[in-house]
Amino acid sequence: MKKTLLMSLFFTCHLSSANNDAIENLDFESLLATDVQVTSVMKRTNNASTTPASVYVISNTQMLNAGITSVAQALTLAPGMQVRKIDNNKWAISIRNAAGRYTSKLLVMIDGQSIYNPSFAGVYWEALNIPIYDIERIEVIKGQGGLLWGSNATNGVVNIITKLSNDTRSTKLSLKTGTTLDHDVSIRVGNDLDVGENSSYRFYINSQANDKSDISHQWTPQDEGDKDSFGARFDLSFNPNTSLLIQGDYTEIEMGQTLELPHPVTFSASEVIAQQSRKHTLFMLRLDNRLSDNANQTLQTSYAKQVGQQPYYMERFQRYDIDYQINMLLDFAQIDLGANFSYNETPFIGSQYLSSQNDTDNIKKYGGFAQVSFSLIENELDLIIGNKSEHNNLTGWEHQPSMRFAWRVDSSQFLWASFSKGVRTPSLLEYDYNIQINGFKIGSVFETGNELVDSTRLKTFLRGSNELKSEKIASTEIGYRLKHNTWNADLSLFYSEAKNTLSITPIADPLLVPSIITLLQTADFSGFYQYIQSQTVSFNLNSDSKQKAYGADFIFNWQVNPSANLIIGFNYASQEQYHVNNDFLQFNGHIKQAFFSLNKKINDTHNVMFQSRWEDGNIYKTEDFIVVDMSWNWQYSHQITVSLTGNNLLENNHLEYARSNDTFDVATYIERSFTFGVMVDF
Amino acid sequence: MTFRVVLIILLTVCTSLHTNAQTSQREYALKAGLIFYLALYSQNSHSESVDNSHYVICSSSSSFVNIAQKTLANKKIRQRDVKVQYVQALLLNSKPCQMIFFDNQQSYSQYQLSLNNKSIPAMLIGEMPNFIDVGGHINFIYIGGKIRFEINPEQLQTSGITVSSKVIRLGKVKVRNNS
Repeated sequence: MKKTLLMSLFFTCHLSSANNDAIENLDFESLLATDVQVTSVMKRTNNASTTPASVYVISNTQMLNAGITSVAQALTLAPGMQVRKIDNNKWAISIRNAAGRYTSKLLVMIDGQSIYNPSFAGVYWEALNIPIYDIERIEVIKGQGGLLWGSNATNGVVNIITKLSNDTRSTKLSLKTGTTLDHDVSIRVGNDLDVGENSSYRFYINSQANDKSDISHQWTPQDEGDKDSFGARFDLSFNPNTSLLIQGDYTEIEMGQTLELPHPVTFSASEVIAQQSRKHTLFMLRLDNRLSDNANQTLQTSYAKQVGQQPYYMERFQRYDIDYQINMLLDFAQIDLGANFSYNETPFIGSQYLSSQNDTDNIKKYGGFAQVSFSLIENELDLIIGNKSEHNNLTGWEHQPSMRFAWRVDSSQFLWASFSKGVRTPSLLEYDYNIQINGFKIGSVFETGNELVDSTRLKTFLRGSNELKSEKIASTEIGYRLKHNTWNADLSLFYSEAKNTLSITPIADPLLVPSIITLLQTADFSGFYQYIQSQTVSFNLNSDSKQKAYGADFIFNWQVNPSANLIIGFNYASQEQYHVNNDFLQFNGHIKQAFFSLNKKINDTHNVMFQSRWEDGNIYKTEDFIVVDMSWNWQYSHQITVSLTGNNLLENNHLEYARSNDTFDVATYIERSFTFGVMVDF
Repeated sequence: MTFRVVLIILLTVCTSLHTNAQTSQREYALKAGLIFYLALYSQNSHSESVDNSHYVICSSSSSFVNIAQKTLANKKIRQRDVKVQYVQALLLNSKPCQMIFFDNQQSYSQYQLSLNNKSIPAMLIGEMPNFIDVGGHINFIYIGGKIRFEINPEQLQTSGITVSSKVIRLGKVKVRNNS
């Protein structure tokens, strides 16, 4: 009890400060995009320059200036982001870690609604088809964000924030076509709504299609795609303090793909050309209530459905979420409290290549978090401490404590440090599923000298385990920001140690080798092949490995003059994994990226944006490559904007991802492409 | 014990839910920033003759003035320093103001009465319901956790103020409803 009183007294000793310093430097649009309350009730950051985390915000203007056509492509605008295009539809995206299509460890949200798929711990980036012009900004939070946003945000959080419908009360038409992009047509209609005060709505419909690539990493490229979406957002304001957000999106995708799957007889990698169709539904209700100038609360309920159909892999996933948060700014501290419940319905649908061990058909999660932020030295040093505890039916209770320091050294310098523990719960693929993978070569165990025998493959499975533990990551980060009138620099260093990461134990019949030797010695080749067909090797997943990662991010942003902005970024990350036993899961190596972007407003109507990225290819088994993109925007009249964008201008084509054994997807060479667009405001 | 700790913290929190200047400060800082851009993107055909060295923003709200002075320190509008001035009663003193911010109905009513049907070419900005209907030019509103503004371009034009299409596009056009 004494401790409690002491704690309360300690809290009342200091005043927390509202960070208004940066407001004076914001432009018109940024002021409108800034939240009034400094709380994070809407699950978005408030001020990137004084947030004790590595945050980069991609603005709507940046996306439009760069001629972006998809959310995944928009992430290439964030220095340090690992964005690898697998083919014209699929992406591997991550932060501070090698990206994989199914191993991203990245939490992605649209207006606070998670689009994470628990079956494979990732996101179907190709299913995100929101009109770019209606995205207000994309926040990229590097490092662990588990406390506020939830588990599995161990590498980072991508928060896509769409515009208030009040800001889109007009009709907009966008038409794009190009050398790779067949068409991208979208129309949005928005207006006031006669409900309460200042209510509004918008509807959009969007259709996009792309051609297939010319060259594939192997076999034939089949990556043409068709995406159709429609959606709506209603912002209902009942009074100045209570508002309701209703939002829904539906997307249908038909896309071709080349898969690398084990041959039914030889078990070697073989080409499978297969269409994939997906249907994604998102629906969300969010009630915001401002209790006072210093307190607000939010209740959010959401529903997501993903239906995927492709040969050998069918998905039918549904998710229900309820989330409540209350945020208070008191004399002594800012307090955030929240509770959440999530139910994921994941019925298993088996196939020739996929089976389930335990028929796990749901994942339930419930928990809560508390975060307190207060000043240790008034207007100078803040401490933010908190914990999120969440129970799930796969691994039980998981805790994610975090402690952050934010030190405003003076008006131009900001120093921060963060110590946190994050959790990644196993995906169903890891916990419950058995997947047939490319066959294990006899020669990789022992060499007989007979090439035909050595190259013969055994039927091989990757087997999940319900004994897997959650991956636990302890992370330390420090950051320094220096701000001057025309430029600012942002440096962050990180070091993390993860335990319970995945490893593989190969299991085979102990008599396998002696039996093969006996059959070969007796020259019984028919018996040998019969025996081989009946044998299986299992790669059993365990959670007894460890991983260490460290690195640095540096971003320099310089407003050269009122019309020119330059961004330079360097990113380095190293990861080492122990006891994995198979390179199927191993992503050891270095990530290196150099980033350069220049935006030049030539005059009131013309804008040119140039962007370049150099990427090290080692960890993705590709050559190093340089991407050069350039986009020109011409405001022809108040209503009409014309754009011309060239992507990958320096090279005719290059490979960005070659780890097909991680994804089963066969990558294609990314071609030079040009896109022409017209946007009309009615 | 854990439950008791949580309960005591929650009680402490709940009993402390009184008005605190923190959010208002931030809200006013945001509004001051927006007012700066509203001034920057508008042209007052009469005001240029008032004070050639300063662009004067007036308000009878001392808390707004204090924050706006900090937020807009060293800012310039068309080579003129921005000056945020506290005016106790927005009567005759408001003459040198190019922009007036009203934080409540009472101060605006007093101002209107003092005008006695005369017109002062200042941009009138408020943060109250129906401000446009009672003759205001721009009114700040709170939507989805953010500040937005209603604007009456006709009323502005009548007062000799033209605003850029960008401001009109970002705001919510509202026509005065005299009823």
